[in-house]
Amino acid sequence: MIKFGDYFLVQLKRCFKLLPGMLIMIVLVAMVVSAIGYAIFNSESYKEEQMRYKLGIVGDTSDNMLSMGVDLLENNDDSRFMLEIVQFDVEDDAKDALREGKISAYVLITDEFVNSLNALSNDIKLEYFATSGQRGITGVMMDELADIASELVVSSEKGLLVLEQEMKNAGFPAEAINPQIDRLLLLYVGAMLARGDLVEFSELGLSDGLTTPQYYSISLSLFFLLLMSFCSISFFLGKKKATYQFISAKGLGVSWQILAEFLAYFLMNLFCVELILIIVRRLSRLRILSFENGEIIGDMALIKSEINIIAVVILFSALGFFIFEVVTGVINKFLAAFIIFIGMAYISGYFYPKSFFPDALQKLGELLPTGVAFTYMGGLHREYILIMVIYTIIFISASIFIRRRKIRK
Amino acid sequence: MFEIKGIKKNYGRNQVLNGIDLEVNAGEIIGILGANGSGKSTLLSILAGLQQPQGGFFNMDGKDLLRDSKLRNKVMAYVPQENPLIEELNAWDNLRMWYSRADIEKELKNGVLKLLGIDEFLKVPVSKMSGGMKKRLTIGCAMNSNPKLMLLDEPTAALDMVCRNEIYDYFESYRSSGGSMIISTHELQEIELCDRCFILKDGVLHPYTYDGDLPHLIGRL
Repeated sequence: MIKFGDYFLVQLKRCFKLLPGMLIMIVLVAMVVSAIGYAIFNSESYKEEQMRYKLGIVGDTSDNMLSMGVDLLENNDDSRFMLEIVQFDVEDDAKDALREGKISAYVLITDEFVNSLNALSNDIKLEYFATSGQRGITGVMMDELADIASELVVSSEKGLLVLEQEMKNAGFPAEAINPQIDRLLLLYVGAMLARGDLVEFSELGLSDGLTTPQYYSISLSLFFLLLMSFCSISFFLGKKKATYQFISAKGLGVSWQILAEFLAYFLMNLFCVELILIIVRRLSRLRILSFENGEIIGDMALIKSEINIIAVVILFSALGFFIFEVVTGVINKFLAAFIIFIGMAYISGYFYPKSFFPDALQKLGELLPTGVAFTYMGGLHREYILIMVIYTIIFISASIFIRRRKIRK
Repeated sequence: MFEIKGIKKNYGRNQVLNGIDLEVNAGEIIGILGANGSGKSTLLSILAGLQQPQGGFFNMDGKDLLRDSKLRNKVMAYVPQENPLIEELNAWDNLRMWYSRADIEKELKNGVLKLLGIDEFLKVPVSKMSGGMKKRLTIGCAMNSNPKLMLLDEPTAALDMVCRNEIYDYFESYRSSGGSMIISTHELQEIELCDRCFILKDGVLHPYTYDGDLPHLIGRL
């Protein structure tokens, strides 16, 4: 009779023999994933996300009301944290700057608009120019600016002047009118500067409550964990049907075989994960590794806990184990695992924010094991552990079923 | 005595075994011949408990070996045709799955492992062993419970003459100690070693005595 413990120990010995090769592969994968992370966090597009939007203004802004408005936007309004105004004398210069990506959009202030403004009219609109596909935050900003100019500024000023005229008509002396008008003007300016609308748009958000660095830290860490089970593929290459039959004939059933193998495989993956976490932490403490845009892997609060990550390692190990048990042949195993891992990671938003996908695809991505792992790690939703346990049981049970069929063939 | 009666097995509509009857006495070697796909391996895997038959029984001294898996595992050893050893490990580590440390040392001194010559390559990884070494080690592992019946699926296929003779020497030794064997084979040398031979054809065992007439044997398969 073969005992479960003896078979498990043999599997651990196998892991020990295979470990050096696996660690080399894991280091290579870690370098690739780190390079992806570095590219994301240091890319021009990411840096641009971090920068204020540059808005060009073309035309004569020497008009008192306009210069006051621009000055307020640049120095006093909440929008100053998001918006940088660049003055252009000629529209062609603004167009060139837009084409070269130096500004996000520009506003053309025409003489007609200034005249209309001075005539207390609201019939000429500002002209706003942007390249195609830039109706994002820039559009929101422009709507806001247009509202300030055409609604708030014009209507309020018109109201104040009408009030002044009516008071004069009613025979009020200038000494009585001016302090009242000044007080109302100050109230109006104060009210305009106190607008809070714009700041609501400052956080686009990639996923529930996660900033861009957090999102990509988690997704890349999970992708690395996924590829780690791929690195330990050699664990499955030496196994043979004859071994299963030989062992089954001596009393160690298929279920116990699978459990022993899975346990050894999981422990090997866990060992590698913890080893890497320790190394990253140590390097981070020694300041050999530093992460400019949020501390990736090593010190991220959610990834920090070695205990929390165990649930994900179990799930991904079970997924890898199932794939390698079902698929036969070295090349087929590699191809199947690669395609499945990349596909699942993509749909679950590991490479692009989930919000970029259609709703149906987002739902599917969330339901996949990779999506469940992401939701769990993203917010550490404890209830998701149950789903991960169910997935693990399904993968292990399916592996047992497949092994039984293999033995009987 | 082992008694096999009315063993039936079909895969869908394909009736592979259609009532296998056989008795195996202590110290007897039974050879099963047959063309590829005739059901030899299926019969051995049923007797080893790897597959369930659709009918029939397999007893040892009146005890049902198909149902009593504990007894079956103790009194029987199954050696598959392919190498079942764990490639990354050496002979000692493979044996440790089947024997306790003390038992290995005892068997290496004066037991089945000594007879099989396993002490000569204890530290050699399986991946670097010859075919003969692998087969001897496989038999050594299978013999851990000192079984009364060995089921061998083409035990010397693809082995050279020297290795075959080493294996046959061990079979003789096992037989002389009262052990029985059922061997699925294509090898003439093994046929000559057997006390009785059967040809498995159309799902039934047909008694056969080899008289040196190879064309006649080929014609009957």
